Amino acid sequence: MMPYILFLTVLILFYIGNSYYAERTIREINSVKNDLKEKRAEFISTSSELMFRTKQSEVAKAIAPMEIKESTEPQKKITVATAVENKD
Amino acid sequence: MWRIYLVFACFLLFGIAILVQIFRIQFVEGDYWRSKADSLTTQIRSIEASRGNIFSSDGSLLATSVPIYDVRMDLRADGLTDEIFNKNIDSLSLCLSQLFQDKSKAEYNHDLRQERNGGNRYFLIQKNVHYAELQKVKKFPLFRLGKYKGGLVVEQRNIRELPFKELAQRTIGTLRDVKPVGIEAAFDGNLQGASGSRLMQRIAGGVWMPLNDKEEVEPKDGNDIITTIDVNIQDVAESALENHLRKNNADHGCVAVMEVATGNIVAIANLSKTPNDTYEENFNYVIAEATEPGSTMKLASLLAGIDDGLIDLDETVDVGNGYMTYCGQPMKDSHAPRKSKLTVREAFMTSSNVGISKIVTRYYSKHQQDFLDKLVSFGLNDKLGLQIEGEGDPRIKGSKDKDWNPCVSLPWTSIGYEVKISPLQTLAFYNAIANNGRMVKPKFVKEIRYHGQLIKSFPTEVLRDSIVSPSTIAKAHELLEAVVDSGTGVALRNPHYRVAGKTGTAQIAQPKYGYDKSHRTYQASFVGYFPADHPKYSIIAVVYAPSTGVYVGGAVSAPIFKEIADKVFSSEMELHNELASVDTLHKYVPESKAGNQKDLNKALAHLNVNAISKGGDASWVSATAGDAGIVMTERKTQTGAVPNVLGMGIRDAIYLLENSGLQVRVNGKGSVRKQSLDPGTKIQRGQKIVIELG
Repeated sequence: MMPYILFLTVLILFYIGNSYYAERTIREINSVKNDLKEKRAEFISTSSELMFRTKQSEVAKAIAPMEIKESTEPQKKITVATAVENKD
Repeated sequence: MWRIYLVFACFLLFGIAILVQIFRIQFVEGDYWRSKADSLTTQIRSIEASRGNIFSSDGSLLATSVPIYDVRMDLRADGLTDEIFNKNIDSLSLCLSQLFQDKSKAEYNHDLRQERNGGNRYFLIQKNVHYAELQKVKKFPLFRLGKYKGGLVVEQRNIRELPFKELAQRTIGTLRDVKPVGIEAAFDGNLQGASGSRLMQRIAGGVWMPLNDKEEVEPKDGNDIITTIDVNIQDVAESALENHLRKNNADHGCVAVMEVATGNIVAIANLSKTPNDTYEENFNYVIAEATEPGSTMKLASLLAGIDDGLIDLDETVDVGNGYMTYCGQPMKDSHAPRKSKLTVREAFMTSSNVGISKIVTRYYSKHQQDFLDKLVSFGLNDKLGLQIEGEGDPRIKGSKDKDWNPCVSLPWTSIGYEVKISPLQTLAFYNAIANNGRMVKPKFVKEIRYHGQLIKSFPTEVLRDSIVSPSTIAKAHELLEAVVDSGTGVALRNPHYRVAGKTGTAQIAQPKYGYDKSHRTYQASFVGYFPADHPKYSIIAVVYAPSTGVYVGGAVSAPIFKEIADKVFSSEMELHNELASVDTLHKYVPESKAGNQKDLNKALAHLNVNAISKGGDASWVSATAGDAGIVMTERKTQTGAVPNVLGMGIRDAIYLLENSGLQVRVNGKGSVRKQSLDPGTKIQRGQKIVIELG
């Protein structure tokens, strides 16, 4: 009889501990979620700032004082023929 | 003894009472209490679904949801004592005033004190605070003490952020209560997603813990919308438009760039002037503003005649001095013609109103409805059925309509008056010409995706397989290319690629004044495509009411077209032909220094370069690179005269000069470019010579 009661006690203790552990995990999840939300907001606002500043027209504006202009010369295209395999 | 029993009986009764009460609570009132407990600590709470994003065709983010915060203050927070408040209020006011710059420090100070006295527990400090600002606010004096002592209350909402700010803003659109616009509105059902719900229990610290529940509904995030917009081209288009609107001090203008084969709108910009002289995207003119197009309509008029087999490009039409009347209504050309007899081709190139209207009335004045039917068959009277709302209504009159004047309406319709069409509808027509007659529907959204996975893609929709016969198309190409080569669009001629297009200038009737001279408003446009031989993009640029006096399409709108086309052409790899390959390996003849013939022969033989001797066995030679190899010609040396060392290396030069008794000074490196004494002059012993190498 005694060992059985002991077993039940241990089980109950474990059960209680486990539920506290679960609650703690949920709190952690919540705060991490909030962090994530904030980090995402930060990411978006910084990356949108970056995107805005790296727009062609913004870059052109920024370097205009250095007298660098956008090129309207078409690019030159070089195609590299894939090497013919050497069959010895 | 009886007292003991009495106490016992009391305790027994007491105990029984407790047991009875337990029984009652547990079983009789049990359900009531349990449900009450549940409602306090457990709840079905909704889980918000995040709204989908809008992307450009290359995957840049055009619109996304970000949290934004309202900052409020509980001025009667439990821990906020007079002592703490008075100690921090000055520095807090200063910080707030510095960050938001909307009120002075004194104003903040005054407001906060007043609200505290009034007992406001929900005082609004600032709306729409961005994340980065909020982080600063949280570190302010007082607020950094936390919620209970500092009284900071932060409320989060989601708003839509457009990382590229005004780029294509109107087309991306906004959701709002009154008249939502753009993609945001048209695809709301897709973007929205569905919020879920879940049973949750409140645990210590105000945190909600999910409970296992079969009724749980997972939230479904909104789908992402992939648009056809190319951020780079959009940027180029928007800035080109703004520059030229500013330059012409125009009221508003718009630009659209469409991919010829697919109908993808890769750029769409609409700008209008605001009262404080800036330009903003306020109205989607490209799709919504149906106006009289003016000369861009002339192409359709001619194609109608050509396709019906009536008009020939080489037939002549007498335009006189560019002025005529139809039933008393004057019609004139914007520039007096250079000669009075023009071919149809020339009339189109120079955009002669008299010429075009004359040729159209020549064939259609007796069958006016035939001409109109032909225009309708080009799709010019139909809405395109776009993915987004707000398309303008095009109109081509019928010859039986009440407002059709049998004498005046035909000639004016042929030059683009008395009809209405939006810029995008005009562009779709020209795009069909570029696309060899196949008219495709302009498209803004190409795909719907969910977490990167394709849900739906929108294939290119063909509106009309062939608007005119292939031979008519060839003539249309010829006409449009002629405009740019030697007509009103010469501003677009350039050595790199060919443009085909048409200028258009229309007087816009004012509601109040009609076409009255002193209240003239103009609409200058240019529509066309490039590269002319393999069209990749078609572009329309329209500028309304340019007020600086230069109102001709070729002068106002063509430069916008050019700026966009130039930049797009110079940056798109696939538009270019590869460089012709040059064989540098086998035929290459290098430069060679002049010098000693024997040495040169030896060196060239070692390098496998052909040496052609034309100097016999002379010891000193000049060397020039010919087609077949290095050609060596004799260099005569005379004793007592300065030798010619030009083109030689330093070793040979010094050897020769010192042997003839000169003192040499050397500057630079390479081969001899200059010698201070001319070759052939007499030498005095010990004379100095300076040679410069380069």
